Amino acid sequence: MNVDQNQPPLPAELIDSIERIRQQTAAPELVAKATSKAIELNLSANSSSGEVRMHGAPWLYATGIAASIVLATSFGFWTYKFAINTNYPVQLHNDVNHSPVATSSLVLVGYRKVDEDLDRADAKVGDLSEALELAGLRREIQATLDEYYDWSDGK
Amino acid sequence: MRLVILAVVEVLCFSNILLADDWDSYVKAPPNHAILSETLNGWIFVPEELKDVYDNTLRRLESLQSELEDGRVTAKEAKAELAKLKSRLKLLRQEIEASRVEVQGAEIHEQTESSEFELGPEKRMAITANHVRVIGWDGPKVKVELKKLVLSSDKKPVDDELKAVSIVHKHEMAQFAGQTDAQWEAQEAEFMAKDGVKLNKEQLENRRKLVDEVRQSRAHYREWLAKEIDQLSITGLDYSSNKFIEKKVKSDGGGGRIGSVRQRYGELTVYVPACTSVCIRGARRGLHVENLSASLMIVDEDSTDSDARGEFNVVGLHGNLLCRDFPLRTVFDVEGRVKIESTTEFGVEGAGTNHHDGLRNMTPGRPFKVDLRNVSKGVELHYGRVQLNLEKLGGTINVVNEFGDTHLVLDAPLVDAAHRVTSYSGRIDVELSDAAWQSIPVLAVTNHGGASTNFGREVFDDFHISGQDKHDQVRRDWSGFRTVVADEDRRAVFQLIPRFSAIMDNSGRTGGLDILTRSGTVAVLRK
Repeated sequence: MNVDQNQPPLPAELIDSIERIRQQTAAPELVAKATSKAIELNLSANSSSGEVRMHGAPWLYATGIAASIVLATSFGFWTYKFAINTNYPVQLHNDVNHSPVATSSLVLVGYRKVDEDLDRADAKVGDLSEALELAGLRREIQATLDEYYDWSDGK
Repeated sequence: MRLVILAVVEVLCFSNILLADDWDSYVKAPPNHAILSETLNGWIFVPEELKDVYDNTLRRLESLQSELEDGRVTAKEAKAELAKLKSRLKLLRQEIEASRVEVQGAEIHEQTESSEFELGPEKRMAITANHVRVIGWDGPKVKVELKKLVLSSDKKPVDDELKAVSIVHKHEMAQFAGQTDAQWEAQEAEFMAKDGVKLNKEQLENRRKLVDEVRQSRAHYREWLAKEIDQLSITGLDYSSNKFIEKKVKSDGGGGRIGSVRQRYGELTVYVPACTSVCIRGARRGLHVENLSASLMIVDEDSTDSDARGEFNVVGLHGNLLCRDFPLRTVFDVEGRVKIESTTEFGVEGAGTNHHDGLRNMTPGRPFKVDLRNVSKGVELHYGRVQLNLEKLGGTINVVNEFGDTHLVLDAPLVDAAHRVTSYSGRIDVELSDAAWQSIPVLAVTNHGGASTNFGREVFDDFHISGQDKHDQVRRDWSGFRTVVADEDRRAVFQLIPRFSAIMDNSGRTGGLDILTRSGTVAVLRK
């Protein structure tokens, strides 16, 4: 995977998923798209808030969680709705000043979309294999029929 | 050919019609045996029970094929059953091979004759024979070898029969090619001056149509007109002098057959140096062309015998191939263009007429299998119903397989041209490598069949549209897939409707690979 060394690292799990699917060469355009979006999202997550993780006392966590729920059910809902329609709606830019929690939610939504596309790519690996397997089977049955109907050796 | 088919009468309910006093005239096969296949002078028998099991296993395999087509079994289930059936068929085949009994109905007498000659200045040769092998070679002359075969069932000498079969070489005008335009015009002028004046307008028009039809039927011979060429043929194999001999066989409690075959046969092998063109006429008992450097024409004309299960192959050709109404099974390694028009029915396996439940049933044979591989400069193929396998094709692809299935594998980029694969009811499977896929837009469409692909919607989008078919001026539905064009107007899909007509007519349209089957399934797969 071609990732700029100056960029913050992508989550290892995501890299593994992308690499695994890329190696199977299925739906390369989808994998490429997911990869670039993941990098973009990662950049945004790390630059606008400095960090995505939350620190502080338990009450701060609780507040954060409550805020996340609120955001997830309002802002999150609409961004996700938009996501469904346009594939990658979560346009995060480094020059936009999001709050850490909002950024975190947006990044999570974005990552979820990346994951969905990776799932789709993964499913395509299955579809591709299934389709090729069916085509191969069809040919194998035909070849077997041709072979066993033919008694020309006995002529 | 048709005379021979008519002459062969196969008797299925043998025991019902076989009279006791006829029994002695039959060749006896072992009891409870069935016919597996025929040889030139006899039959191969195997235990009937074993053959029944074998045939039923094959029928089960055919059912599995249908179930897979219809999606009634999964790939996993089909794979498991296929493995079982293959294993069973292999064992049954071994048992059959071990138990086969060859029963002779006649003696075969054999003799050979050979000759050689230099090609004339035109460097063109026509071969008219029933069984032909043409081998390209580096020798300076044409070498000809004839294997004569004569059958006898009455112990009488066959010397005269063998002598009657002989090579004939002539260097003369190609009479079979018909007349030149000038000759036709002179003939018409003479007719009009003498008899034409007696005909009314309608009669003259009918005559003109008839003359045009006759001239058109010889259009493929245009390059051979008015040329002195080398011509090879075989004597003694014509309908009148080559008589039929009867073949009758019966297994007590098993199968039997009554038929008749020609008495004389000639298998011609011709070694040909590089030349301008070779025309093979007839060859319906067998044809094998190997490493020939010449244009090649194969036509089903003047054959006096045929073998529906014969081998008909072209393997290695430096030059173009034109083939008409001929059952070529394989065409491999052609450095040139291939044009084949074979719309008659060649499938014979399983074909026949039977009586069941008060009905008289005529069953078509399994589709005739045709393989074309490695053709460099394009194909133009028109078949009625064949199981067509195409691979490694260069140049423009133009395929019509009206009622048969077509499987096309494309590994290399296609040239920028209007390619098409079409059918009325056949299934069309196309497998594309990335290089082939990226080289040209692809359109896969059907009116009444299914469509499937493993390309993503983002590159190969669905469409479902209705519109007036320009081909026959009726409204039709069209469904399928097409390569996505970036920033395309959403209404562009409706521009496909005139394209569908252009595909069927093979008329002017922009470059692309068009795959169209009216009621079959179309499948486009990434390799």
